[in-house]
Amino acid sequence: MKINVALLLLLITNYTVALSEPDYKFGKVSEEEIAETKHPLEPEAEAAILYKKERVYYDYNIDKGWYITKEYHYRIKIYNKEGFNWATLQVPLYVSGGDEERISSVRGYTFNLVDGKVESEKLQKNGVFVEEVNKFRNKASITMPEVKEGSVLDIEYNVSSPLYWYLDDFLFQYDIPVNNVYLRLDIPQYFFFKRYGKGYYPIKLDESKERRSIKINYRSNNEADQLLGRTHKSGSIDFDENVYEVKATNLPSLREEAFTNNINNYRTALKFELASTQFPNRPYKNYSLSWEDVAKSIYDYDDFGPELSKTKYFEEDISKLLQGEMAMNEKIMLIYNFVKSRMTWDGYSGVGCSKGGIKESYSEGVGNVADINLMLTSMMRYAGIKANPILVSTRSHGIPLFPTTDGFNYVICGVEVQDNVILLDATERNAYPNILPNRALNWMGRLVREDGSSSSINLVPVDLSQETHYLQVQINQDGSVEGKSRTQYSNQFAMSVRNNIDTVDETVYMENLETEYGEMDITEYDLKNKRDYSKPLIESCSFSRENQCEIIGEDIYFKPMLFLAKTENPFKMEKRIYPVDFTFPRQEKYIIGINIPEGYKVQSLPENVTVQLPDNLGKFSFNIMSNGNTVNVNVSSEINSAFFPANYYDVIKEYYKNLVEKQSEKVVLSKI
Amino acid sequence: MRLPHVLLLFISFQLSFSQNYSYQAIPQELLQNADAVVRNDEMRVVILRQDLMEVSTRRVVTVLNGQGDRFVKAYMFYDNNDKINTLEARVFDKTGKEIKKIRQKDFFDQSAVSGGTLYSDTRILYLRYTPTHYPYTVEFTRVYTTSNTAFSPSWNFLDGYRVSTQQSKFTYRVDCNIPFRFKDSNLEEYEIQKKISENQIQYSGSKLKALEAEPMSPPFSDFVPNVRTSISRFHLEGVDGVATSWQDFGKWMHDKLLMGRDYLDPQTIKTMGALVKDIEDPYEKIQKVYEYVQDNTRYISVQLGIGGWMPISADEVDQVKYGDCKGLSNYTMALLKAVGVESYYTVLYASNNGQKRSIDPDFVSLQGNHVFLNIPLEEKELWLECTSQVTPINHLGTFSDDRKVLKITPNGGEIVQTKTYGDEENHQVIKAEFFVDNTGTIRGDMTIQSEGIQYDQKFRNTFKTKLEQEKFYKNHWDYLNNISLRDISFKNDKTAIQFQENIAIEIENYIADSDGKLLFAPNIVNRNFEVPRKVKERKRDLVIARGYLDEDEIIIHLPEGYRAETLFAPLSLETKFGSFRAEISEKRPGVLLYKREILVQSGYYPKEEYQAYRDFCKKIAQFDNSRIIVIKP
Repeated sequence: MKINVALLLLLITNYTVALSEPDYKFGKVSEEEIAETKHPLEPEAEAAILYKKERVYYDYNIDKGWYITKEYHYRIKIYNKEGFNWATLQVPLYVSGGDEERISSVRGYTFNLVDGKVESEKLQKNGVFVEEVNKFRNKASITMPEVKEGSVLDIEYNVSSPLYWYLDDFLFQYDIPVNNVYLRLDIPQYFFFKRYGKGYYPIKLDESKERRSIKINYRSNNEADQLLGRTHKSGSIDFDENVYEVKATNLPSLREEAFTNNINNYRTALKFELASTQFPNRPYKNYSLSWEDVAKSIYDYDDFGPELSKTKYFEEDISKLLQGEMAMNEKIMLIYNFVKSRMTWDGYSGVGCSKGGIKESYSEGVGNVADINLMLTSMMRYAGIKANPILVSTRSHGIPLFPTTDGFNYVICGVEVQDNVILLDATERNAYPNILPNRALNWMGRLVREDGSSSSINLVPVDLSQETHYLQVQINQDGSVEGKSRTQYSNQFAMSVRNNIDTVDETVYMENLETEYGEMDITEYDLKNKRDYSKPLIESCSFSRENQCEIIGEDIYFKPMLFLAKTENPFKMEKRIYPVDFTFPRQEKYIIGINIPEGYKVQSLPENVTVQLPDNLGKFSFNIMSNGNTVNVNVSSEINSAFFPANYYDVIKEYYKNLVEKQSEKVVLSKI
Repeated sequence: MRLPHVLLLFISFQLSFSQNYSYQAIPQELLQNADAVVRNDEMRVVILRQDLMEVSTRRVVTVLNGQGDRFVKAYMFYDNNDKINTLEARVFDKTGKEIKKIRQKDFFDQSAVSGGTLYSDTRILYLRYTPTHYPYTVEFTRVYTTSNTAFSPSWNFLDGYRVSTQQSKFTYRVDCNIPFRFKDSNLEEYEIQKKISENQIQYSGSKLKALEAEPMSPPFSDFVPNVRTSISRFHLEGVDGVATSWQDFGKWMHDKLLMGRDYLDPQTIKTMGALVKDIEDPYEKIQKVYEYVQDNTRYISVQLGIGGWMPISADEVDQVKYGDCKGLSNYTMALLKAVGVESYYTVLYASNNGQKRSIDPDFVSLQGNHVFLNIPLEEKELWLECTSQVTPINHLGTFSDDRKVLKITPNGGEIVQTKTYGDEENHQVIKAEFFVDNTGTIRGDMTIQSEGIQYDQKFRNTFKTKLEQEKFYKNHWDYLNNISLRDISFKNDKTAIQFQENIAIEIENYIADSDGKLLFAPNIVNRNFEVPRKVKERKRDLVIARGYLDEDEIIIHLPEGYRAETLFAPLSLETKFGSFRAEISEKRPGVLLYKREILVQSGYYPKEEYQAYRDFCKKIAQFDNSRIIVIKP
């Protein structure tokens, strides 16, 4: 199924809310606000943001150049002790080269109602800390005094940023409800930002223009001025500013539940991305506007395109590797395996190669994702294969809904064979062509060609990943079972099992397996195709387990899928407002042959059943039949899409309910 | 006088170790069950003055697989008191050939503020190295000096499970005539030599094989070889201290870290006076004051310099209404004093993983990771946890129960024992009544009364949102699919420390219909599944850290006209680990009564008993799942 991006991307609408604007002057907290014991719309909330104001504007200084000032005002209500965490604000401060953001003018008051009277306590210096987290980031923490159940906190601070090209996302939705938000940005005509909204809650962005004048003082370099001692001069710059405003009320809280890609995809937020600059007497400079532009500008980064075009460092090795006649597919696999075995991923993401450059990474055998997959791309091209890098945003980084250069944080390689693009990621030993690590299975990627042109590529697998269990089981009179098992894993399933096997010692793996199925004895364990990625991984063993069956009176009861039966519905909550994400489409199959003990006969079997999801998106079928002293079971469950919009939640939940119930039903054997 | 830097370099120990870092040189027995082998681990500590200690370490680890990376441990925590002279790492391949050298400036420098702490001045320097092939070897060398001699070093000959040690050497020397103490433990079964002289101790061990973790085993530190040291006059963040006896050490803590920090604004003292007006009984006074602290403060941890050891003054906590364990305990102590109740600042090892860790009573030194209050009332000794807004008076839970702690009084320190929960004190009683209908649904309600450690496990549910409560119960009863929670209410009796849950549930399709026979398990709401994992050759004792007693009584009304057909025979198990009894009967036609009682007894049991314990658990797990058959005759 294809799902339109528009499902997620909420365009900035003209939806208007009638605002009866309450007064949120700093320090003017009303008694009603403090007296309130529950949030009127979400009585369960532990805290609420009564008001959030963010005001952003530019200034110019002859020494510093352009810089941004961001003024914040938060009014936070604490309803109960669970909400105490909201009495501490953490403010990230970015560091880029020698430039760093700084926090100043921190002011705060805590308001409480004491014996019917409003009392306030001022935030002192000892409640503010600035910490150097690492060389990329500092962090300010502000913790408020005298916080109790019912407290209202008023907090103001400014952040001054020399990173004038960068505006952080403006968040409107949190774990707790937000009553009122006001955002205003004043952006000089010289900067043009592209604006994007996301999330399920509509917001309206107002635009207007204002005239602005900045006074500047400077030292004259003019010789005549210097002779006359008139070096201090002042003047002013006059320009237009674009003013953007957002006013929103009553944004509901949004919390994360199971099977969610990344909750931040669904929270209401606004993003500003610098698209171009046009300074007086300077050429127009374009940054990014479309996906094409984004791709092109990343391609032009020093640590991307130029690194990709280097070939010298590997030429000798690759030529040796590709000696003799061979088919293109063979070449692709040889190069891919060569990079996988030579390179180890250092765990870093990003679209740029590491500082030392791709060549150094190659010689050390360690690199970040760009080093490894650009090197792979470059080698493919060297071998005459049509290969291009594909920009990706990982699942933890969120879905890139709109074209921004920081929307991508990962890169893989795409090889064009006939009309198909095969996706390759060499950061994981257990990955394979078109089998990417889960982190990369996020929506769409952007394939960038040598000429800078680009196109969008679906990253989510279309093929089903399969897990097939074959069991041959003997049931004994005492309720124990023994038998042989063979399990076949393909695609994403195979990768994840191979990863598991690689991360633990074999004995530990076996123990985990025995515990996973509860009190099982496993012998003759064998693994096939552990390193032959072109084939499904096959795990086989003999097993025995006590107490698999229930003995009630003279009868024996057992679940036809035995220990493989699913006993829990993963979907527990009543409602859901955002999509369900299975990461990849999947099929699980169970083919089970059961011999019943001598002297018993099948008294009853569960009924056969088929359950379908609408639009052919999924199917569960359960078939069982008995023949003399054997019972044959054939069960399959297919989820044909990785992604389901929230309106499918009820049917998915129902589907799993049926699946679990059916799998818990029992076969009854009685004595002949 | 400050020692010039050059002098220190001479004292630094010589790198005399003849190196053969090849994987081949590892004896076979050290590779068994190991993810890494510590090839050589050396530490040399020289106390130069009461306020100057030099520490030199070199650690060589061969990592055998990805799980072993964590044993490299090439990092160093530091703050303003530490001066790093050398910090360096070298990496070797399988054959022992050097492949990389990492200098101090290439170590990753990051603030070491851990979760739960808002700010601390501690930082960490660590090696970020991505191994390309296994096995590989890292040699990590560091030399530093510090003025904090209070952190007298200790030495472990084994670093954890699944790691072996080839060579390990620890040297501790005092060059300034300050008396020192040391204590070694669990050396017996290992090849460890010691050389003790007047001002120096030296331990060297070799060939310590890797150990495997076992479920329900004693804490690791209780059975692996280690050496600890302590010096009788030390220095801590600008303050000199003494540790000759618990008495003296406690006196020092009291005089240097606590005295004078209990000043309170007269207005606050007045408020406290008003709070306990007309109350004579000290327990009631404590109740009032503790309630005041719980309602008005919150936990925020800031660790700066001596502030890591000295509480923020009571006056300051009074103003901002937050603090860490030290600050809040000291504040509560001051408030109690203002109403005439004497309480004592008490240092302990608190634990979130349920392990009971004591202050080592035989070894006077800076120990502990937490502070709370002790109040000896005439009839009863009380404990107050001041960092929690919800814990009742004298409820310790698994966080602080049953362990030795250091109580600080104006006369000095004293080691005392905290409250131990007896097996029967951790008591849960369930009374439930259920109705089965014709569609296979069962519905009913129950009260669950919990005390002791079982109180600890549940009372926080009161403070959760409805959604989180729902999650908790759906997870708690994850074996019941299609469960709907109809009604949840709680009674939290903080005085008696009893928690009562009143819950109404409905379970669709709980009853299986097989040709007119209805099958279901009468144990609906309290099944034990936990069976600890099988261990092939158990090496260590079985530890049941805390026992408990559960008593359930469930009445089940069958649908109109149904009668019991097959009920299970009563089961009664008596073992040294405890007992289990369950029975079901038809009280009157169509009404069943299910009774269950389980008692688990805490204690240390010899390793040979492990299998028997598992059998006990298995039998219960099986029996709890047993179903019965009812029919319409």
